[in-house]
Amino acid sequence: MSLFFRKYQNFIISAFLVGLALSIYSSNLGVKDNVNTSFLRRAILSIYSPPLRAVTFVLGGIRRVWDNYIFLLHVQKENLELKKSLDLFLEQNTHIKELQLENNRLRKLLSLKNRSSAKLVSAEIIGRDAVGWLKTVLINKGGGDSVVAGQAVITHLGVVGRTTDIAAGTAKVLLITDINSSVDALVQRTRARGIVEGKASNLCELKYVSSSADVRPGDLVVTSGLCGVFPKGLSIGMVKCVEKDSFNLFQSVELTPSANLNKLEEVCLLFPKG
Amino acid sequence: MVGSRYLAWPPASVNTPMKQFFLFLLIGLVLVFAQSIPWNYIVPRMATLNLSFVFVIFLALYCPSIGSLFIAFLLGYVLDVLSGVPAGLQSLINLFSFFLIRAASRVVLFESMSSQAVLVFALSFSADLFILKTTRIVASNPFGSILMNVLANTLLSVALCIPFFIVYNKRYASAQD
Repeated sequence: MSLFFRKYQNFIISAFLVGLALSIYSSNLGVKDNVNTSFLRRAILSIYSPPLRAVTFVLGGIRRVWDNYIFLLHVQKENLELKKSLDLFLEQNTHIKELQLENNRLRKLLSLKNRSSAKLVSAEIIGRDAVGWLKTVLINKGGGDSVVAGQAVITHLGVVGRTTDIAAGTAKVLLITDINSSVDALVQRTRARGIVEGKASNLCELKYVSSSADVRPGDLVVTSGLCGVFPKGLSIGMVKCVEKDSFNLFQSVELTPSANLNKLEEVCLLFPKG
Repeated sequence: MVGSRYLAWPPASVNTPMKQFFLFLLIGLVLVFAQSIPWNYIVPRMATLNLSFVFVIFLALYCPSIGSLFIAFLLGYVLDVLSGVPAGLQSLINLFSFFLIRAASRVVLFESMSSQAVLVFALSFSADLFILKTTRIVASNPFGSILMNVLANTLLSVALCIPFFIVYNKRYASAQD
């Protein structure tokens, strides 16, 4: 037996490794949400997390030095423009507060439940997709911070994605631009429904929108709250272009994500209250 | 497949197969780590090059052993965990590339820099296209733009390898003398 093994050692080990890789691959095919992260995956993520945090801290420091001290050429001009826009936003804010109060009064009048607000926990991006073609990032919050798989990740600009693999000190986030991501969505202006899917580039696609629905470039697309991950009304992106074909049931709608997913540094994790 | 064809690398101090295995594994893991660093903090549109795959090509060419085959498998799995690729896919690509190189080495001697560069280009290009095909990225994007991106990434990988090939080939030549 041992003689046989020695003779065919290379062939047996090679066949074993190929078989193992094939079985891992086939068992993971079609798995979109990795709810239970295996021990080995958690271990690898945990090993890589501390050095990635350290390097990201250093890179962040270099970036801050660059932004705060060296890149100050257009600051005065930018400051004046920002002051102008601040005045505009203050005016809009007063109007929004009035609308919110009116909304609360009407909700009470109609006995509708108040939308439960969520707790936000900030996290930093410590790693990006190691292969490059897929759109995932690693954050510095994980199972130790009560993060679970399938949790919403956002920025102040809009939806970023949702958590997938969870380790103690880190979690992988599937961005909305990833080919495996899908979010139930509404066109804010016309309430036309569709599903936002990633295109693995910097764009998304709003799929399954009826060809009769009114969708125009510049329309804002928000979450519908139906997929169970994102609350209703979070900004996903702006319609970039619409293509209608008289023979198709659906129109093709391309979106530019609201959050700049190429320059992500900090994100917020949404924890449902209660 | 056991035993290395060239003796110039690894250094003489790494003289046992076990030491060599751990040294190669460490180098591979460091390369995977380098791929995961968010370089876009400093260079916003920096491409992610599959450095660990190029290292697997190097192992298959110069240090073909069962240990190197294990490393190819492990590096693929680690890469899968740190990316959105389905687990096992990169391991499969690494293993098949390893076998392909070993089969091709029986016919072609990859001793000149040009043949080594062509090999890295062909394998990196095919591996990237295979990943894009299996993850359905090809289906949802214009093929022309994808091809250009893959081509750019592959050429960058080859350009990165050339200095290493020059150094290695020189060391090999001096070891032969």
